[in-house]
Order: sequence, then structure tokens, then C-alpha cells
Amino acid sequence: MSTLQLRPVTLGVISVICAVAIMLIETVFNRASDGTFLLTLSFWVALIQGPIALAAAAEVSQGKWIQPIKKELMAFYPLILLMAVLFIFMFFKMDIYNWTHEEHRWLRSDFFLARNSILLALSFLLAHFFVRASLKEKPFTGKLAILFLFSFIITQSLVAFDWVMSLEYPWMSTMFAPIFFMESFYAGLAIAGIIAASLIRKQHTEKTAVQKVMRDSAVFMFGFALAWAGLYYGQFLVIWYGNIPWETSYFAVRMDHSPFREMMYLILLLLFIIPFIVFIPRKIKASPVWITSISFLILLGLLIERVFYILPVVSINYIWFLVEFVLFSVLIVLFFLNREKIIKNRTT
Amino acid sequence: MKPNHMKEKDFNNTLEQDILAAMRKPNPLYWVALTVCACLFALGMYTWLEQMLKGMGIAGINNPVGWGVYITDFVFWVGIAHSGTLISAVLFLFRAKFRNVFNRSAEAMTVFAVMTAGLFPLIHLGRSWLFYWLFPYPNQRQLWVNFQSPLVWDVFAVSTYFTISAIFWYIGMVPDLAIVRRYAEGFRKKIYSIFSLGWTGSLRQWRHYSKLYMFLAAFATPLVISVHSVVSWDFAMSIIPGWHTTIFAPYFVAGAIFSGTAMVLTLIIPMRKIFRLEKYITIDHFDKITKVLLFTSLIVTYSYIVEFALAFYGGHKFEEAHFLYRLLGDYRYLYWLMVFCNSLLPLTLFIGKLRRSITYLFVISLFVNVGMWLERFVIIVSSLSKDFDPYSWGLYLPRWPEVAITLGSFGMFFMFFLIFTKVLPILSITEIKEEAAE
Repeated sequence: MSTLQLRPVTLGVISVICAVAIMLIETVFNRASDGTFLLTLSFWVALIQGPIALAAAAEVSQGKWIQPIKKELMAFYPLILLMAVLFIFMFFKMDIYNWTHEEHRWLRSDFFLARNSILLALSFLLAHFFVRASLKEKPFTGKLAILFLFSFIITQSLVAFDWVMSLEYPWMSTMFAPIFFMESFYAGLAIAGIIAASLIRKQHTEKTAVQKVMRDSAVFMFGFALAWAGLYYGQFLVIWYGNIPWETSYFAVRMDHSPFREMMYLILLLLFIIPFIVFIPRKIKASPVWITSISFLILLGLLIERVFYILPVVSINYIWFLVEFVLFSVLIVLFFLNREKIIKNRTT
Repeated sequence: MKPNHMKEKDFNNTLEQDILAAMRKPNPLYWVALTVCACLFALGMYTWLEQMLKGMGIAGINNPVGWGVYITDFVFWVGIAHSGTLISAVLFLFRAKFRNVFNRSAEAMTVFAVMTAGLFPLIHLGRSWLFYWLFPYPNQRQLWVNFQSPLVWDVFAVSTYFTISAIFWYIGMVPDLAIVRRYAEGFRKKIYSIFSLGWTGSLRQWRHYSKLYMFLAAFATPLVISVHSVVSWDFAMSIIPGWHTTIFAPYFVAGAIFSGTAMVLTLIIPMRKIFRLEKYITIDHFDKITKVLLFTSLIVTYSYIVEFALAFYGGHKFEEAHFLYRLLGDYRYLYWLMVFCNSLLPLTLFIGKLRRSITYLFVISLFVNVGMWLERFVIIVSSLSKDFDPYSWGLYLPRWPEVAITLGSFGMFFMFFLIFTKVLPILSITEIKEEAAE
């Protein structure tokens, strides 16, 4: 792994190459399945923003538990800029939205692309200033963390309402946004668990402190599993009980037809039942193998959930999605391995 | 909290004496306050009796606004009840030490607020003496409650919440009751001996106590969320514009914590002054609890924005018309006052200096209390007064019985709280000792 030490400029170049590769895939090779790109973007934006939101929330609430892995969590922040750039290429995929045929004040292609890209870019800038201030331990770090959290909530709300929910316009649910930004935070916790477990395996110098982080991440994942179930059930129950055809149709399609029905049970299992049951015993919360496994299952649950939202409306090419998935995974690993340089570059 | 030069033993003694001093013979001002509250309570009870004798017609509720001030009061008081468990249980699980100075009063507030809230469905029933019909009891006519009704869910949710909150409050108080027992004399000593359950402070007792307290905290936390979610579903399950929206559960939970935190401030600030508890309840404690107030205000504001924006997003005519009505209709002044109190005014708490000004916090807590009462009123009344069919539109104005009973509920709540300050330790002595020792 030590051979993978790269300079920040090299990392930037690799990111650009990945972006160009994804753009080529979506505009040249994968023109038939338009949902692939949206799946990639909506999944990775949750995973990239989540860890930084976790670090920012810990900063605001003066949560010291996150301190030993704070640098690692913040290392992914330049990828928010990549998301902002990639989102512009949604221009080629706007046909997936039925409202493009009859646009109105809010749902208009140009405004849609502009507001989401600008907000992501703004979120990157705020993350940049927050990371810099946090590492220098500036007194105004808390204020920047709050600003970043504002941008996080707004961007994730738009990911929910604009990117995903508007696929089935005029269907709407006000709970969609809280579920999305909660899930992104949940993903941040899962990533924190994976990072802490991996650092323990490497006999990190601050082993006891990292063990504590791992245990706390597991406790929070347990709590978030319950909270996620609460929000999801809260949304479902209101729609089911109201029994209005234009509202229930959203779930009717997903509950009556295979493979969506199976996906729904799988999501419940991965995002609620498994983490909730497994994290009850104290011993498991101290086991790096268990923490890593459950954290990956949570991330898998999030991925399936995004497929669950998108697939009934627009097709997905799994081969190309896998290629894009690998590209993003490579970027994540590279940014993680080179975190010291990214952070150092920001502080000097 | 503990001055550096002071020995731990001296601090503990001073703390015990200070808390016990608050429980000693009340001054005339206390009696005046208690009498005013008792009179208000009596007024409320008398008006309720009058309403039972003359019928619901004396109240302002009508067709179509069948839910008015009584249901507003119910939701308001259940909301107030929430913050007690939040401060106690949730902050305990998060190991937030600043809770130690607020938790006793907040838990007491919870119990009294649930008791107050529980009265309103009975008042609203009209024939209040038939309240037991709400319970699924075996009977000859084989009548059974409608389990599909959120109103029945309320009965279970609120009664469970009251039971757990009361147990949590009591269990947390046992070591402190043993301290009071040590200093009490005569009949009082006997009473405190019974309620301190033979507490000796042995290692074994502490071990069991800590486990039980942790278990209750973990049990109470999801309960807080579920109870106010159920209350929100009283509205969201119907298909009335402005009510039928999925965000209602977290929106109501956040609103409840927001209003409850404001009420904690309303109660604690004068209590701190009257009982001279400044050295225990410090400005830093207020700074931290105010951040909870600010945070929940932001969630509530976010919910206002989302429900308003999505009403226009989907192009649903009834939703659009309803939210325009809230904004510009008959109840617009109340709506704008609500936005000012709940969303705009709390933004000033971003300024550190204001978070540390006790007078300002007291004033803002009163505004938030008013704002959160108005929020429930606006949600309930504006949706009912103008739903789908213009033929059934109508306005609502509370009459004297609603006003008197609402005043009575405040009288009852504050009366119980005043009694609490004289019979039970107002701060958690053992937890403050622990914090100081650390």
C-alpha cells in the first residue's frame, strides 16, 4: 500500500480521468439505460458527504469521541467537487424526468442543473474551509461546521426531492428529504466504523482511543438503525392509512412486483433488523470484524435502497454501474491512503 | 461548579444544605404564587363542571371546527412533557453532563405536563364520565374500541409515557430521597424513609441502580419519539389539506422538544434566582441547553419550509390553497406571530452573548411557548375551517370556557411544580456530586 502514496496534484489528475471516464460511459457507451448515472450519483453523494457531516456534527456538539479518526473522515471532501462537476453531465440524462415535457417554475432543466451543481460546489467550499479551520484548531471552526451542515442538509434534501422523488412527479412525500440526509449521516457512521476497525488491525498507535471510536460508532449505528426505521415507517404508515390512490401507487408498484418486493425486505433487513439485533451485545461492538461486516452491509442496504427508488421508473445497466462503482471506490481508497498529504496540503 | 480551593467533602455538604434550604418553610411570595395557581386551577375545574352540566354548546367549537383550543392544549402539553425525558434520558445516553442541573426539574415538568395533557381529551369528550370507554375492557354489549383510530393509539401512548416517565423520575430520585431522609425529622422522616426504599448507598445498590437507570433511559428514548409521532398521526392519518403529510412525525417530535426546552428555561430561570442556585446552575449550563433550543428551532423551521414548498411542488390545488390560506387567510396574524416566535427570534441565539444572557433567555423562552401553542392552533384550526368543500367552511373563535380551562391548565401545571419545589429535592444532588468529583 505504501507504493500508492501520491501527490495531491496526481490525485486531482486521477479524479479528472475518472470523471471523464464516467462521462464517456454515460454519453457514448451506455445510452440505453439512463438510470445508471443517477444511481451512481445519488449513492456516492451520500457516502462522500456523510463522513464530513459526521465530523462537523461532532465539532458542533463538542463530541470528542470522533477525534482519533477525524482526519480520515475529512479526507474525502475534495470528492464533493467531483460530484458537482459530474452533476452537470446530468444534462444528457434529463429525459428520465417526466416533468421535462411540461416544465414549471421549480422543475425546469436549466434551473435544476444549475441549483444542484452550484449547491454541491458551495458545499465543497464550505467543507474545504471547515477542514482547514478544524485542523488548525481555529476558534471559528464551530461556525464553519454549522455552515457546512446547512449546506449538507440542503444538498441532501435536493438529492431527495429533485434527483430521486421528481422521477415520479407529481408524487411527493415531505419525509423523503429527512430520510435522505439521515441515511447519508448513517453512511458516515458506517464509514467511521470501517475506518476505526481498519486502523485497529494495523496496530495504530492510539489503539485504545480508536477502539473507543469503533464502539461509539457501533452504538450510533444501532441508534440510527432504529431512527431510520422510525422515519421509514412514519412515511409508509401515513401513506398506507390515507389510502389515496395517487399516493399509494408509489408503494403499490414496489410492494406488488418482483424484484422490488424482495428489495424492500432486503432494505429492511440490512438497514434496520441486522444492525439493530447484532449491535445489542456489548462484545460485538468491540469486534473489528463484526463492525466492518455490518458497516458494509449498511452501505449495501443504502445502495439497494437507491436501486429500489430508481429502477421502477428507469432502467439501470448493472455492468456500467459496476464500472462506475469501481472507479469511485478506487478514488475513495486513494483519498483515504493519501489523507495525510491532502490534509497537509490544506493546512500549509 | 466546584471552586478549586474547596474540598470535595465541603462542597458536598454545602450542596446538600443548599438544596435542602429550598425545601424549608416557604416565604409569603411562594404562598401568593401558589394561591394564584390554585385559583386558576379551581377556575378551570369549575368551568369544566359547568361545561359538563350545560353541554359542549357553551364552548366555541362548531362544525366544521370540531377540534379547537382543547386539542391545541392537549398537543401543547404533551409537547411540553417531551423535553423532560429528552434532557434526562437522551442526554444521559449521550453522556452530556450539563443535563445534571436540569434533569430533576425537567422530569417533574414531564410528569405534571402529561397529567395536564391527559385531562384535555376528557374535557373534549363532553360526557367526560364515560372516559373509560376509551379502554378496551370486556363488557356485556361486546363494544370494542376502534384500534384503527389514532385517538385510541393516543390513549396507549400517553398512558405508557406517563408510567415510564414517572418511574424514571422516581428511580432517579431515590438516592436523593435518602439524603433528605437523613436531615428530616418526625413525620417527614417516615415519609422519606418509605420512599427512599431503604437506600444505604452500598456498592451493590449503586450497581443495580446504575443498570436500571441506564435501562430506563434506553427504554424512554424511543418512547419519547413514538409518543409524539402518535400524536402527530392524529392529524396526518386524515386526508385533510395541511394535515396529511408524511413529515409530521419528526416535525412534531422536534417541535415538542423545542417547546419543552423553552418551558424548562421558563421554570428553571426563576427557580435558580429564588433558591439562589447560581453556583450550581451556571451560565455555561444555559449556553448548552440553549443550543438544544436553537437546534430544534432549526428543525421546526426546516419542516415549515418543506411542507410549504412541497404544497406548491406537486401542483395539488387543495394543498396550495390551504397553505395560501395559512399565509394570508383569517388566521394569518397568528401564523406570522408563530413564524416570528419559533423561527426568526431563536436565530438570535446564534449570537453567543445572547445565549449567555439569562434575562434574554427567559424572554425568548416565553415567546417560544407562545409560538408553539400558536403552531398547534394554526395547524388544527386553519385546516378544519377551510378544507375541501366551500359549503362547509367556517370560522372558529374560542369562547370563555376554552379560555378558562386553558388558564386552569396552566394553573394546575405551575401549582404542581411549586409544590414539587417544596417537597422534593429540586436538583439531582448525587449527580452533581459525581460531576464535581470528576
